[in-house]
Amino acid sequence: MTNSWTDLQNSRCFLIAGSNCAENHPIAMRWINRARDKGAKIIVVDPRFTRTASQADIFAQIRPGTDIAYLGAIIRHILVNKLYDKDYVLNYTNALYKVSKGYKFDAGLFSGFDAKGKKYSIDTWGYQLGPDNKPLKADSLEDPDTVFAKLQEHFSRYTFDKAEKITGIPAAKIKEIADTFCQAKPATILYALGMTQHTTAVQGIRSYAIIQLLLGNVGKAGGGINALRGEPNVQGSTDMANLFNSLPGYLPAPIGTDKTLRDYLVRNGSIQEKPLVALLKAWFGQSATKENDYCFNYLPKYNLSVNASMVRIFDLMNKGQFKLLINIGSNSLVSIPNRQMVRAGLAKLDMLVVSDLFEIETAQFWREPGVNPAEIKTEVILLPAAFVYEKDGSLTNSGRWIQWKDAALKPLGESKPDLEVLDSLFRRVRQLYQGSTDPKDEPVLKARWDYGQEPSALKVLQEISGYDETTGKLLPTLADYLKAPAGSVSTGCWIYTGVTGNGNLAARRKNGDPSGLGLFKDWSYAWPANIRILYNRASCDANGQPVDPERKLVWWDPVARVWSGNDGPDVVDKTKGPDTPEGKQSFRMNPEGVGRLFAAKYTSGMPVTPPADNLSPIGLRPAGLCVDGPLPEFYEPVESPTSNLLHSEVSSNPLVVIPATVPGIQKVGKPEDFPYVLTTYGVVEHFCAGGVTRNIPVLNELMPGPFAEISKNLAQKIGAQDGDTVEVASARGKLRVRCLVTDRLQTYKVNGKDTETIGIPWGWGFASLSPGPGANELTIGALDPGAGTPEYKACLVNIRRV
Amino acid sequence: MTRKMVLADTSKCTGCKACTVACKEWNQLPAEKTQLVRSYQSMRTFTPDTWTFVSFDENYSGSQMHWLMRKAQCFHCADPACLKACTSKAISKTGSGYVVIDADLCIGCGYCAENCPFGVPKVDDQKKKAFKCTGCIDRVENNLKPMCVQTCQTGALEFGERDELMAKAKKRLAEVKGKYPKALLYGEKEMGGMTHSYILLDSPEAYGLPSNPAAPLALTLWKDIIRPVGTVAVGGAAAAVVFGILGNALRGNYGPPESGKGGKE
Amino acid sequence: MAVERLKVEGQVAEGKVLRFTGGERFSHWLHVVSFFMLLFTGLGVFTAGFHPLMSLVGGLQIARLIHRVVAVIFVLGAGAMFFIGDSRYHRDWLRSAFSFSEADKKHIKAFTAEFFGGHAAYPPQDKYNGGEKINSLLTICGSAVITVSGLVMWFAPNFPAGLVDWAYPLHDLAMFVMTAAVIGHIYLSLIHPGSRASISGMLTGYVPEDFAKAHHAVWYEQAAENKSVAK
Repeated sequence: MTNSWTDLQNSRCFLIAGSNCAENHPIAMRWINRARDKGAKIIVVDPRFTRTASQADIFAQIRPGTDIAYLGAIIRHILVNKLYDKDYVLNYTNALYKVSKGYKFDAGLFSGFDAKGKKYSIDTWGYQLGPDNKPLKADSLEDPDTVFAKLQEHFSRYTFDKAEKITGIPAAKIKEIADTFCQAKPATILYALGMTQHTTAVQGIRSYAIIQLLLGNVGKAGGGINALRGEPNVQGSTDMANLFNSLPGYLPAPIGTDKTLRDYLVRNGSIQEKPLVALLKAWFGQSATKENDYCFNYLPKYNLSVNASMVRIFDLMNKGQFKLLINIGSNSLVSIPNRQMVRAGLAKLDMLVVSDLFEIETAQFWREPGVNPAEIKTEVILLPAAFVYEKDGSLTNSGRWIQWKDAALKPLGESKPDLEVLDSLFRRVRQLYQGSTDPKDEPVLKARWDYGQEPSALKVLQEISGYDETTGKLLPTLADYLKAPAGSVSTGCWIYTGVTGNGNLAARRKNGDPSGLGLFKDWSYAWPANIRILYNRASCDANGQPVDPERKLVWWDPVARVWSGNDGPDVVDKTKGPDTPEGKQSFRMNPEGVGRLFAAKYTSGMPVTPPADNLSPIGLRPAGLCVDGPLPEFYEPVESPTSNLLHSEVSSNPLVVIPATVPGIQKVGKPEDFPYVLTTYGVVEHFCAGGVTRNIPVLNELMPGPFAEISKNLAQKIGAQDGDTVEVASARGKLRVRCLVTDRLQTYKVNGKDTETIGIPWGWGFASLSPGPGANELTIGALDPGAGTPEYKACLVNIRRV
Repeated sequence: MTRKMVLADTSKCTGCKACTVACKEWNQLPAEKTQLVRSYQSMRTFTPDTWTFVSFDENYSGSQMHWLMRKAQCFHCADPACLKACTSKAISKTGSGYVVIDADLCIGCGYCAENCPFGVPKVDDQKKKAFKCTGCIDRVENNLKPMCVQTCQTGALEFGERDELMAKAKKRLAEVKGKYPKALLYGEKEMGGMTHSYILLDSPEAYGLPSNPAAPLALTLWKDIIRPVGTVAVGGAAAAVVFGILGNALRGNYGPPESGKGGKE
Repeated sequence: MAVERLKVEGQVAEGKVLRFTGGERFSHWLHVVSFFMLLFTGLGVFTAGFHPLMSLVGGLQIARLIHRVVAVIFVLGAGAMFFIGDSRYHRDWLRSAFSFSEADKKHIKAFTAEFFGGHAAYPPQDKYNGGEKINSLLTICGSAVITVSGLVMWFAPNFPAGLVDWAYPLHDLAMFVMTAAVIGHIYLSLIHPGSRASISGMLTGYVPEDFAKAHHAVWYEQAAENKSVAK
């Protein structure tokens, strides 16, 4: 979230698309309803009429995976009708920046496409640079070289009619959505997995970014782009690097070619030096010195050509790549798409360790109906895990609030908190390595691991928050970290710096809200630096004064010559006023200092003259990139009932990844055999893969089993009635489930042809008190090329009554 | 205690069913085996162990979908039919407006269940007692909100003083009518004024509720006419016998015992 | 043979006339016993004030159980009377309860005065006088209503809710009617000096000949005419 849950109350319009927050984030509705009480409008775009849709002023049923088509039409509408916030666009985005002359988009492909390697060479996606290596800026938006012109050109194809033909949403309704959303300020966009679980995931969110930047909604109370994170601590685990390609605090993970720290900085910019060194100090303490490159060589390096994200891991498991899997806090056999691949993969392991509250499906994959246990060689160990209320620690919510909690109960029976399990595991492993002189064992032997005899979660958070390594004292604030020279401080995750600096700020529970804007800045601690609304500099005009008098976040105090406000100012330097280059920056984490309508290749601070010793130059800060294009483009899901209306020859994402090490393990179906679109989702009554909730009788009572939701037309077509059993099949698997006939799904037209969507929740499996088939029997493990997220939300199936 | 009220603003209900779980937890009610009834509704009706549930009704017309969700529970009527029907004095009304069943007095006859226009009380055949929502009177009397209200995240349930909350409900109704012209306030006057009231988005029938709920005519006839008249009649018969004995005695009919003749002078 | 003849209604022996056969008396007393048990246990269910009394039968739930068991006996007993003993007397009684002659009507008019110990003229009566016929009618109708409504209440889920609603007041109504009637009936049969002689009819089957002549002259004459008189 750029903003926070409590900030939702400030919005005047919500575009909830790719999120069923009433279902999956019920708490969101509390704050949304406060906004509604003040007249806010709710727009819901979803493949189904959901619980959230029941609250909507405007609802549009969309064909799964086609969001970019209607969002593109909204962008075009904004551009054509000049509905954008001109001051904002000029001052706070890269609209005026001149794009490299070589940049092109044609027939579904951006310039630089390498068809053989299925990737882009992105050199043409940059800016025209001046002699100082800084981007050239045009004088006006009319200049044909500008980002703005490229935007206009790119989205000119996205008419309402075209969008209707692709998405199935009537053109008039898309226009109504566009008008409603553009007229309300501030307006916010809420999304979750409905937007990210596609092979066009990153570009879908990019579309949101473009809309919100054009409308000037980012950095403002009631605005922003709000990713609603799932489990209470998804945000926290992402912050702590649960992805293979990052280190804590979103530092890029080193790759095989990063032999030294300097190599790493060449790729990632000098800006990463301090946080990476601080991280290495946190992990290896006194062993990390300038002389030994701060133990940089201890870090594992990943292989860019493998990109071992979740699905890929299970794919490789099928090839026998892994001997041991430690599976904690995930019911992989239920939650991973095309679960046959998971089941087959687990059987190739020597040992599987599952830590959970119950004997979840993953832990008993060997006795799933239809599997012969005698043929499974994998040894399975189940560790009893303590429940969330049985352990101390912090959870970071979607609004980046790090919230401490104490254990409320003693762990039941022999169950143990994860920290205790990992702590004893590590210590025993280290014991096994004791005395080794093999250099590859050094990371284990030299790791700083001092969380106490009985490991303390607070000590872990303190390590994350950071120490002054010269004194051994806690680092008081983020500012102290920023001031300190590299190598003198440690932080386990630099963005969390200061959370325990002056006492455990995460444990703060003062709910005063003097501004009335829901900032609650004395409640817990938000990263970074307790800033509740990111990019809030953009809520001010060029002179540093709030644009919205009712929602004042921060301002430049010309008398005291300092940035101050109700929220912590998100500025480079609080003493640098709006008349300085630093004081103009509203998006300080981007190398340009502005919001990026066009995701250009760019590194700030590149020296004009290369280093004399023939080394590669090190820039300051490289821009984040989208591997599949600097602008969002609509591509069909991998399995789609139609070909791409914009460019049929490049129908789905040209960079899409479909892991299939073992041939035939990830079949792709054709619309002739599988004419209907399947979308998958969770239900409020159960949580995620149901490992816990399906073992709780009062929850099973509320939602006793899975179902397939179908329209009345489809029900008639297959001769099924509500409550009948239907068989739903994809190219990868099939399942039998109760059919739920509903008006909440309607037949829609795609390019003139009647089309049906079927919905099946995914959180069921063969074990627990409420066993039942889950939708991942059917889904496809096709991945977004940038994020590696699988396309859970759209695939093709057939259905018949049993 | 002053009259309390729980307002369920169905325009804010998303059917998350947290109220149902909260009720079961607080009142330590066991889960039951269910299956989907219709839409996302899994509980068909009240049972001795299910005192509240959410009903789901899908209304699709003119390409507009209305998904009506309503938390069903005892309304705690000011003029409760169950109380009237109870022959055991087990049901009583509190000053705060709650209608409660005293399990010690309840004999499980089920007359309350038969006569409630909403089918709320249910008799447990094993325990031989009727059960229903207590309104969390145990919490309310200790200045806590009812558990369902405490749990509701969306703001659909609100608890407060009846006068204040009813005024607020009317104001809210006016807002809701903008989007739902058929919206109405249910519970202000129904059954003498109910402690649990609704802002409904459609007619009561659309939610499976009676438009004009009333105690059954049979109950009124029974309790207001037959009972008193019958009691008087039996008393009258007894009194007549006393007078008969007196009359015979005064006339000396009980003279010398001469069985068979007494009646004839 | 002789025994059989003696049992025939209207037999006069030693100044006594046989009014009720064994079968009739059995039906009556079965009805009496079950009625009072039902009344007692029913009051426990119907009225809070009677709850404490239910400890006499082992508690309220036992009382409810007894109520159901006895209800079955009550109903089966009423049915059985047409099959046990001389069932034709039961049929005669039923028929008579629904046929009111002029003489009956006059008896009913005189009933109030008679009840309170006064006297009013009325023509000679049959085996059952007008007042008794009223009592019979109330018993028959009351039993029917209370049986049907009770069945509906017992098996409520099998009946429409509207019907169940009405079963309660009707059950209660029938109870009141029969209770009021039984109070008068007991008075007349045990306490009222003019008619208490009739109790022997229900106890032994025989009533004094004088009583029969005085109260049921028509029946007595007919009986005397039709039957041989053994003296």
